[in-house]
Amino acid sequence: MSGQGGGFLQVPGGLAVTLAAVLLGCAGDPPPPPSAPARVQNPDPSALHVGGSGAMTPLAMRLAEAWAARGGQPAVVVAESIGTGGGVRAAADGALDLGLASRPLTPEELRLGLTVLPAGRDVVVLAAHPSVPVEGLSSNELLALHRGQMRHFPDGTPAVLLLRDRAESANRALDLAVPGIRQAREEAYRERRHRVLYHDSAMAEALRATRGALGVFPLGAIVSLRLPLRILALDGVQPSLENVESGRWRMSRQLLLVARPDRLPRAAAFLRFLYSAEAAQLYRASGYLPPAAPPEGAP
Amino acid sequence: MIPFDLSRWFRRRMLPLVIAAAGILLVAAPLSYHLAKRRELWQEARARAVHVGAALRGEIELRPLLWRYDMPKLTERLAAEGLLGVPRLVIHDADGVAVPLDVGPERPVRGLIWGRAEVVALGRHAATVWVGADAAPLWHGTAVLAAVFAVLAVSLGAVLYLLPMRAIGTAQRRIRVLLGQLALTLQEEDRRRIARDLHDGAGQALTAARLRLLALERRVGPGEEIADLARLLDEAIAELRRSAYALAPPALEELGLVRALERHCEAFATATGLQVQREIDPHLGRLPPTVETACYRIVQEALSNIVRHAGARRAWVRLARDSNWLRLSIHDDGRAPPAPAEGQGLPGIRERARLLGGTTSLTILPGQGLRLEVRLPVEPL
Ligand SMILES: Nc1ncnc2c1ncn2[C@@H]1O[C@H](COP(=O)(O)OP(=O)(O)OP(=O)(O)O)[C@@H](O)[C@H]1O
Ligand SMILES: [Mg+2]
Repeated sequence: MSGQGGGFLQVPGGLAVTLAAVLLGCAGDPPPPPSAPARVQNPDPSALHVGGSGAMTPLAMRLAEAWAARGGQPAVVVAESIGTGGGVRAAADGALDLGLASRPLTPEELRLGLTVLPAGRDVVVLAAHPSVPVEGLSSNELLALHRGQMRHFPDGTPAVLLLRDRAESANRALDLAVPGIRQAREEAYRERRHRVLYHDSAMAEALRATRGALGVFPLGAIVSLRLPLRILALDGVQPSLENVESGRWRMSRQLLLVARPDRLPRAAAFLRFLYSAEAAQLYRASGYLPPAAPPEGAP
Repeated sequence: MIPFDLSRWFRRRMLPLVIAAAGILLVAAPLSYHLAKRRELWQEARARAVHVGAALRGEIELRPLLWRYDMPKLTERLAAEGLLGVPRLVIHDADGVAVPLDVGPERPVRGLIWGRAEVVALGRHAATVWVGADAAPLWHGTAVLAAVFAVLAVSLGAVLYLLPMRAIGTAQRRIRVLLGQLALTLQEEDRRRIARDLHDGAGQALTAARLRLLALERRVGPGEEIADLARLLDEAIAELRRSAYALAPPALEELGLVRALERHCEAFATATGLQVQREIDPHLGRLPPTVETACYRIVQEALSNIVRHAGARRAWVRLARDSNWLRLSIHDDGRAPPAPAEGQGLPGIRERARLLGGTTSLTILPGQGLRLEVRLPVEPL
């Protein structure tokens, strides 16, 4: 009698459990499997692959052109900018032979065991759309722009501040020159007050296309790519290589090259060129300061 | 008396069913909610993965070789556009190698529901995107719903189980009383049959013998032996009549309990010299025959015990009804032994009361008389 009752109950019970298990299993994709081990990459051993910080990419292109013009081997291929962080990681993985950096390496990056070489300095400027009706700005005006308090230039042209992403090293350079700018910028990010651009190429495009636009930008890119942008003075000081050397213009960045030690021999010939007097001229002509001298231990 | 315990039988049958019903109620709603919500979260995660995949595709087409080194900017951009906002984002390249994203320290989550999207760029499979949604709100919602439905399920189970259990308990009590009454009725019928047999059989024979003796006396003339024989026969006939009368009191059916008791007490007092005080509620009305008979028999036995064992001069008989109980109390001013021996009378009283669903109690009073109290249910059946 009771056995019958038990049997009657077991069937829907078991069915429900099975059904639940099946349904629960269905709702969701399987989680990601553990990562496969990273391999050392070596895309094309016949060329020297260079890339990284957008601040140095235009210079690297000019140098590569000059290297090609004098028949240098191996040929140098410069990649689209992927930022300093990307350049360092790609160099560590072997995807690039030389990584371009426009900021000091972080402790984690230093732990990757890369060789770090000085590669001169670049100059960070305030670049503006040609329609901007002023020759320069004061620190206070720049702060007011960040805080959204200043929306027009004196003649009524709208002022459009364009920001780079947080990790951009040009921001660090500006922080050194204008006290309080860092906080104002963080606030602007939080409140989404201004448009944010994530690459030098996108920034150049936005500066060129937007009336009243201005923002921090590398001088080297303007000069070497001949960008039709206006360069503004800050607190009465005009940005120039001389003013950087004399210390009057404070917004500049140390440029670095990073490489796996096993890739250095392949890059040796190009590096010798990079530290040559001919390259130094090219540096200046492109709006960059050349490295003082090849460092100890450089090939 | 009852062939099986109805409550136990019902419990065995019904409890698993009630538990199953409550269980289904408890599980069904939270489970449906959980499944529907989980599906929704999954589809949301999938949609986000597809969205990230679309942005990623642009990056891959722009930098076919080096895109995997530029991901922090992609994620920062997605976050700034409010398109990320998920606890986990994982991207693998075509070789299954995790792409560094620099999304900062991951906030710990207890459960994740993953949505996946494949990225095809430049005509080949280039990457896989996983977006993990936090399952904690899902579990929380399920728990709240389960708690609510647990209360409902317990209430439903209690109602489904306790109501029939109570009805069955009542029914079982009634059946027990009915069976007791039936047993007593059969017993009374037996007694009446024996009384009739005594009266019609032995009684008629003795009466016939007495008449013959009378005829004999007339023929041979009076003599001492005949007189002795006549006296013995008269005694036997009287004894037989008493027994028959005791076995089946004819008064009860004709007069009803109240007057039958009055008459019995009076007759008993006259016969034995015991003073019997009566407090019998005259408005009792007619009670079920089994109850009336039980009362009558109990008074009979109690009075006879008093005369036989108590050495009492007075006895009190009380009968009253309060709501559904009939209360019968008999006590005397005699002397009761501290521990009365067991004959057949007192156990018989207890058995009658029990069969009718009633109770009995014996108390020794301060003056050492004995009080017998009986409570019988007379609830309407
Ligand atoms: N009213 C009473 N006063 C004193 N003792 C009593 C009284 N009623 C009963 N008893 C004691 O309880 C005992 C048991 O009584 P019970 O009626 O069961 O048996 P009984 O009267 O001895 O024999 P019987 O089977 O013929 O009734 C008696 O023997 C007597 O000692
Ligand atoms: Mg007795």
